[in-house]
Amino acid sequence: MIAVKDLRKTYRVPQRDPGLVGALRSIWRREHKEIRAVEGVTFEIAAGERVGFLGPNGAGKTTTLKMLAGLLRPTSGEVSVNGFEPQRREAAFLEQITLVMGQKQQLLWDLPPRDTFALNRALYQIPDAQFRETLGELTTMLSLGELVDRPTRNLSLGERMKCELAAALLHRPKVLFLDEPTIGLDVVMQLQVRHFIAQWNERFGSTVLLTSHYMDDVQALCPRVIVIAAGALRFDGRLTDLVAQVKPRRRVVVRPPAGFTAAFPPPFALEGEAWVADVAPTDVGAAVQQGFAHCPGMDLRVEEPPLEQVFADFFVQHRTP
Amino acid sequence: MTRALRAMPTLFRVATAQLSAYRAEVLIWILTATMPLVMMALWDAVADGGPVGGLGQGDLARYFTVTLVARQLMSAWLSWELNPLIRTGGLSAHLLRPMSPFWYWLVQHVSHVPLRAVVLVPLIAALIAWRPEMGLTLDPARTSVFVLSCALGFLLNFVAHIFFGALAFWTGQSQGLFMGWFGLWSLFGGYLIPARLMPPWMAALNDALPFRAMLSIPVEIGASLMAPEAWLGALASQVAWLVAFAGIAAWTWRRGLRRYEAFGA
Amino acid sequence: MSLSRALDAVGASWRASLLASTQYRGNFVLSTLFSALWTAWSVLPLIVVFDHVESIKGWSPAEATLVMAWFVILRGVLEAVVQPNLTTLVERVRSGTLDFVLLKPADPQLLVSFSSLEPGRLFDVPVGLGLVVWALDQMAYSPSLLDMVAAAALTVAGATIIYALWLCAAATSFWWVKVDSLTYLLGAVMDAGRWPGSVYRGAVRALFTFVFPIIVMTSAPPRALLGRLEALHFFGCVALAVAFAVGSRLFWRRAVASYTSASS
Repeated sequence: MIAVKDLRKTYRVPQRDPGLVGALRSIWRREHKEIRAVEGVTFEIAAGERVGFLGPNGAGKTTTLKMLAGLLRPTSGEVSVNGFEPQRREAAFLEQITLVMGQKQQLLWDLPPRDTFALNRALYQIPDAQFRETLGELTTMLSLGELVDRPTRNLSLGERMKCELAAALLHRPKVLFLDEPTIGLDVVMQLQVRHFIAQWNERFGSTVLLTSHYMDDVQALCPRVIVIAAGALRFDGRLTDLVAQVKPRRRVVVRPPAGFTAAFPPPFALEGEAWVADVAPTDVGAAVQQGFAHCPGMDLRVEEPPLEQVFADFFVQHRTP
Repeated sequence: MTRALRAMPTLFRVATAQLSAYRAEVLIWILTATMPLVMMALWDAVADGGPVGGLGQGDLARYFTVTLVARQLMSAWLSWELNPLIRTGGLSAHLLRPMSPFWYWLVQHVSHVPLRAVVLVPLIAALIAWRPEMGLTLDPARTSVFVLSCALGFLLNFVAHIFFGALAFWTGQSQGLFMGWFGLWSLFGGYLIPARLMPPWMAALNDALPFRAMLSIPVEIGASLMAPEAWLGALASQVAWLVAFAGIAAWTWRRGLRRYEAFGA
Repeated sequence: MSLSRALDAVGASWRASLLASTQYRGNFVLSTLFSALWTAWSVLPLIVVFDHVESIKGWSPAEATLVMAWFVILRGVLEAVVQPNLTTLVERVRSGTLDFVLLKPADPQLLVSFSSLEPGRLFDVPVGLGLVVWALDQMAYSPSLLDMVAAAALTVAGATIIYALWLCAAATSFWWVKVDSLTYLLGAVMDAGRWPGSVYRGAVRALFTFVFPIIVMTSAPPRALLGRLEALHFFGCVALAVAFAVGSRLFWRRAVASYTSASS
C-alpha cells in the first residue's frame, strides 16, 4: 500500500548573524544553510496496518509524512501510496488520503464545523446518501452532538479536534496520516481519540500512519513502529521488540512494611522510600524470592520500564551529531 | 515608562530583525507610494495650458514629490495588525506582558523609516533629474521644521490607527471603517488635491478636520508653499489634533479592552 | 479536473466564504455604505479638476467620467472578489493551513481564488454603471449594440488582467510569505487607471499599457463604447488579456511546485 525507497529531502534555510549588525546586513544579503531533513528512508506498509512514526522533534517524521501526502516534493527517492505518486497530486490520489495535524486545523474559523463539512462534501464530491451515513457514524463515534453547529472559534481545543477528525474522514479515505492528533488534549479526550482511531481502522480497514509524542498513543494504537531520528530510519518493527532491544530489563520494586528498617541485599538499591532492582526478565523470579526471604511482608511490584525512558535512551543513542 | 525606555535597544533590534525577515514586504510597501506620481501626471496635464490656482507645472511636480516623501515618513499600519490580533484572540499574549505592546509597535514603525529613507533617495534624485523645473531646495531651517512636522503627522496617524484598531473590539473587523477614513484623508489631506486648489466648500470643511495636520501641513512646509510665519501656527494645530486624538484613541482602546473576549486557544 | 468538479468546488468555496463574510454583520453593512462614499470621493478630484480646466489632454468631463466609471467598476470587482483572497492566502501560507488546500482533490488555484469575499464592495458596480449612464446622457450619445458588446468584452478582459496580476502577487507569497501589502500595490497600480491614458507620457505610458495594463482596462472600454476604438486595438487588448491569463497560471503552478510547507 505504501512503499518508500531511499527517500531524501533537503531544505535551504536562511541564516543570519545574531545582533543588530547581522540583522541589518541580512536586509541586503541572505546566506543559506542546507538542512538534510530526511536522508535515505526505506520502508513498506501494508493496507490496513496501524504504524507509529516516532522520533525526536526535528527528526524528519513530519517531513516524511508530508512527502507521503504529496505536500512536499522529495529531493530524491521513490514514494508510492496505493499505486500513486503523491507529488503528482492527482485527484484520485487525494480522495483516498487524509492528513490531520494536531497543531493546525482545516475547520473554517468563523463558521460552525457543519459548514466545513458541507464544503468538503462538495470538494470530494461525496454522494448525498453516503455523506449522511458517514456523518451519522462520525457523530455517534465521536459524540459530536450539537458541537457541529457552534462557530469553530467558540469550541474548546478538544471539541475542535473531534470536529477536525470528522471533517477529515467524511470522504472515507483509505489512508490516514495523523500528525500528533492528541497534542494538547486532556486525558479523557486523548482516550476518546485513540479509541476512535482504533474503531475506525477496524471498521473500514484504512491504513493509519500516526506520529505522536505521547507513548500511550503509540502503545494503544500501533503494533508496529518506525523510528526516525536525525533524518534516518533507526528501527522498524514491533514495539515490544524495540523495548526489548533498548531497555531489556525489568524493574522489581518492593516496599517494606512500616518499621522494617533492615537494608535489602543487592541487586536491590534504595530509591526514595522503595527498594528497586533492575534485572533481566529471566532473573525476576530470583530477585523476588530474595526479597521475600529478606522481608516476608513486603509490597511487591514488577514493572516494565516506561516507554518514555525507552525512547529517551534510544534517541540519545541516535542523537544528531 | 522607564521599563519601556530601558527595553528600547532590544525592541529596536528585534524590530530590525523582523524587518529584514520580511524585506520583500517592506519593499512592496515602499512601491505603493506611487500614487503621488499618478496625481502628478494628472495635474501636470491639467496645468498644460498654464498655471492652475497659482501653481505651475514645476510647483505641482515639487508638491507631489514632497508628498511622496512625507507619505513614506508618516506611514502607519497598526490597525491592520490589530484587527487579526483582536479577531483571533492573539492579542491576549501581548496583554500578558508587563509592558504595553504599543511601545513595540511604535518602535516597529519607526524602525522602518531608515530603510524607506534609503530607498527614497535615488527615487527623489531621479524625479529631480526628470523635472528640474520643480526647484526643490533643502535649506536647513525648512527641512528641520519639515521633519518635525512629519514626526507630528506620523504620531497623529499612528494614534488614528489605534482608534480604528480598537473599533474592532466592537465590529469584529474595522477595516471597512478605516478605508473610509483613508478615503477622507486622501481627499482632504492633500494627497489627491493640493489644498490650494480645493473648491471653497472643501477648504472650509478642512478647517474642522484633522487631515491637514496629517499630510498637508508637512508637505506645504517642505514644498515651500507655506510662509515661514505660518509654521508655528501650523505645528501648533498638529499638536492640538494629536492630543485630541490621543485622548480619543486611549479612551476607545480601554473601553474596548473591557469588552474583549479572548477566544481561541 | 472535470468541469462539474470545478464548478462544485467554486460554488462550495463561494458559499462558505459568503457565509463567513456575513458573520461580521457590522463590517458588511459599513462596507456597503462606504462603497457609495468611496465612489463619491473618487469622483471628487475629477470634479475639482474640471473646475479649473475644460478638458484634459482632449478628454471632456463626460469622457473622463467614463474612464472613472470603469475604474470604479473594476475596482469594485477587484476589492469584492479578488483581493480578499490574497489576505486569506497569505494567512494560510503563514500558518501552514495552506496544506489543507493542497490536500483537497480540486485545483488549488480555484480554491484559493474563491475562498473569500467582500460582497459589500460589489456595490461599486451599479454605481459605476450609473456614472456611465450619466456620462452618456451628458454627451447625448447612444452607443450601438456592437459598441456595447465590445465594451463589455473589454471589461471582461480587464477583469481577467486584474485577476492575473493578483494571481502573480498571490504566488509570490509562496516564497516571500508576508506579501499582503501587495493588496496595496495592486490598488496603487489600479489608481493609475482613474484618468484617461493620454495623461501619461513616454515610459510611464508604456508601463501602464503593457506591464500593468491599467490603461487598457479603463480607457479602452470607454473608447469602444464611444465607437472610437479600432478593431486592431480591440483584438490587441483581448490578446493581452489571454497572455496575462496564461502567464499567470504558469507562474502560479511554478510557485505551487516550489512550495515548502511550514513546519508543524
